[in-house]
Amino acid sequence: MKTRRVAVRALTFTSLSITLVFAAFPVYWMINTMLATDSELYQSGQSFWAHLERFGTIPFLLNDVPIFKWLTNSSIIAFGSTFLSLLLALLGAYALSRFRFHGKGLAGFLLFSTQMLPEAFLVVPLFALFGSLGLLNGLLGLVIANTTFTMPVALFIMKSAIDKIPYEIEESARIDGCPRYGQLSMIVLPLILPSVAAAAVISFFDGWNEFLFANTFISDSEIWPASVGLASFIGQYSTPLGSVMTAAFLFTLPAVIFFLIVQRQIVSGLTAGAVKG
Amino acid sequence: MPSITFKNLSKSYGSTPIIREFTADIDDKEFLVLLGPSGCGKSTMLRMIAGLTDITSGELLFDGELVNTLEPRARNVAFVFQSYALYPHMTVQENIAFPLIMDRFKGWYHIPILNSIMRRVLANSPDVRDRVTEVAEMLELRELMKRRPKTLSGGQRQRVAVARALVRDPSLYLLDEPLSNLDAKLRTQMRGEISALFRRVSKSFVYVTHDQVEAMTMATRIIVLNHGEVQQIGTPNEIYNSPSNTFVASFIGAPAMNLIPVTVSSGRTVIRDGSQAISVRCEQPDGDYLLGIRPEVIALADAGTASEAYVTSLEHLGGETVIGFQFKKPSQSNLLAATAVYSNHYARIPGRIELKPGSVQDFDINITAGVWFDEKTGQALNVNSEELQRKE
Repeated sequence: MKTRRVAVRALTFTSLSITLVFAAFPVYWMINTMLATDSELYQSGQSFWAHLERFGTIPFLLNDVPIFKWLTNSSIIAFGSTFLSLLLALLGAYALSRFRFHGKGLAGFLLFSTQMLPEAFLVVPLFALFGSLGLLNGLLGLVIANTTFTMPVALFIMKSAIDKIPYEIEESARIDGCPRYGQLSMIVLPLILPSVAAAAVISFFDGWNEFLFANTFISDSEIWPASVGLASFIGQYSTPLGSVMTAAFLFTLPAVIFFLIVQRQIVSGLTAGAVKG
Repeated sequence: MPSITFKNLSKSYGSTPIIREFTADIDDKEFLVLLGPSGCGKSTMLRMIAGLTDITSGELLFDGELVNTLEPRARNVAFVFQSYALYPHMTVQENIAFPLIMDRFKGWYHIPILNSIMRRVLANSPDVRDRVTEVAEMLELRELMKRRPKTLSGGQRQRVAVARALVRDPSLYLLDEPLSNLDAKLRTQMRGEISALFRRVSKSFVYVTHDQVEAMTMATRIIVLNHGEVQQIGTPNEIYNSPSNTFVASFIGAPAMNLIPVTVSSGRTVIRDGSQAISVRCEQPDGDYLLGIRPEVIALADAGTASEAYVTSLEHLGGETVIGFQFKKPSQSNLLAATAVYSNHYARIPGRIELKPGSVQDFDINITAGVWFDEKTGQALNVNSEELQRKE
């Protein structure tokens, strides 16, 4: 019995370690490259161990590129599309979960169908549409485009959470004199908060990482998000690896911080179904 | 404090009828119990009274005023759900205060952020505070005020649900099987508490249950339902002593009313199963009937003086004995089979009686205390025992 437990433990540990290496090594290599000097990178060769002592000397203000401007743009897109997705998804999820109306099945299918089509498929039609609406070359257009894809995901996450709430709780609120929107904001929303957090993370990272639309719709380098800005480093003849990795490090940092903030909520969101309230 | 009037009320989903048209008048300050087996439409009827379910046709009147389209809040009703439906994210105190806060809520309080501020302000206002404390004290919930519903026991949750209903001082209390989630001992205790509550607040109650004991002990008036059809409306006494049809007769009472197939010819009643005759003359016209007799009206009699039957089972309940019997001579295998109850009738005799299953015993069937049912329709016939006695 005891040997078996040890074996299971060892197996768990090994498989976790392998997964961790795969997931974490690129991040480690990013930091490692960021901390290496140009001569190491292009001549003598990079050492495997990161030169952490150089951290203070890294020129984070990359003078020739507006990296902080780009990060601001990315945040506007990420927060904008998260806010818009959550708001629309909450209302839509409540309607799909609680109301009976004609075309309910169709509405669910259409929302789902946005996930079946690759984004690249819609680039050209959206480009033409946004062109005539005057949404090209602006952040609002990107917020709307991202919301198209993140809102259905958020909606289905929230809908399954609302489905699990006994309808009687809302009826009870109705008897107590709580109007419909009050039932949503005061009863349903607090109960599905973990799922809202999970949806928020998904929407945020979608918006933060989005590249295709931003690259296609935005021509002005001033309003590039960081994802496009980062890609612009990769030149036809040379790629300044140290600067790219520094920029990439700065690009990663806010996302990590955001994740750490909502992380606890997400874990409880994932286990919400397991424990009966 | 309304009287409730149902005028040709009915409910159907599409073409499926849930409750068939019926009319009833319930006085103010009645304890009305909607009684029936599960799936008979009693909960739907309660939800129609509450305003949670639309009324398909007919009129529902509170004090003569049409309330068909009124929102639940406007009807001034309180509802205790079977699952209690407490708000899981609120403490006991917040749960109880919620209806009061909603009463004081204005439209613009619903703006996010302002909403939570105003809820806190209202919850701390003296009148809300005092009222919540008062109700909590009445139901002995003071120690639990800061707890959340999931940390409470079943009985405590139930009391919180009642407190939340009580706090607003509604004119009509609606309770949907509030005791069915409790264990037997707690159920008896809560039954007493709800009866006490009814006497104290002296408002109208509508109570849904499938438990005839709850109905008989608490109600001042009962509506018996089956398959969406109202079977009988009356006081517990009327329902028990003069059931309007065989369904009501067999649904109420444990064991239920005996339904004995008999044939009457020129005043002579003959039990069809064993062709025993009952000596007492009856006034029914000739024909086939079902004779309804409560088990406690049947008495044991000496051999040869009453109707002879075969004992099939014995249950000693301590203070009394329930004797199962049948008029047809049972075969030996029939007697041993647990399913022999089909043609069984029951007598409830005080004290401890020792009889052997399979033995022959005379039973005194007092037909003057019986109810006559039409064998084909199952409806009770107008000439009931009281009228019979008056004739004599």
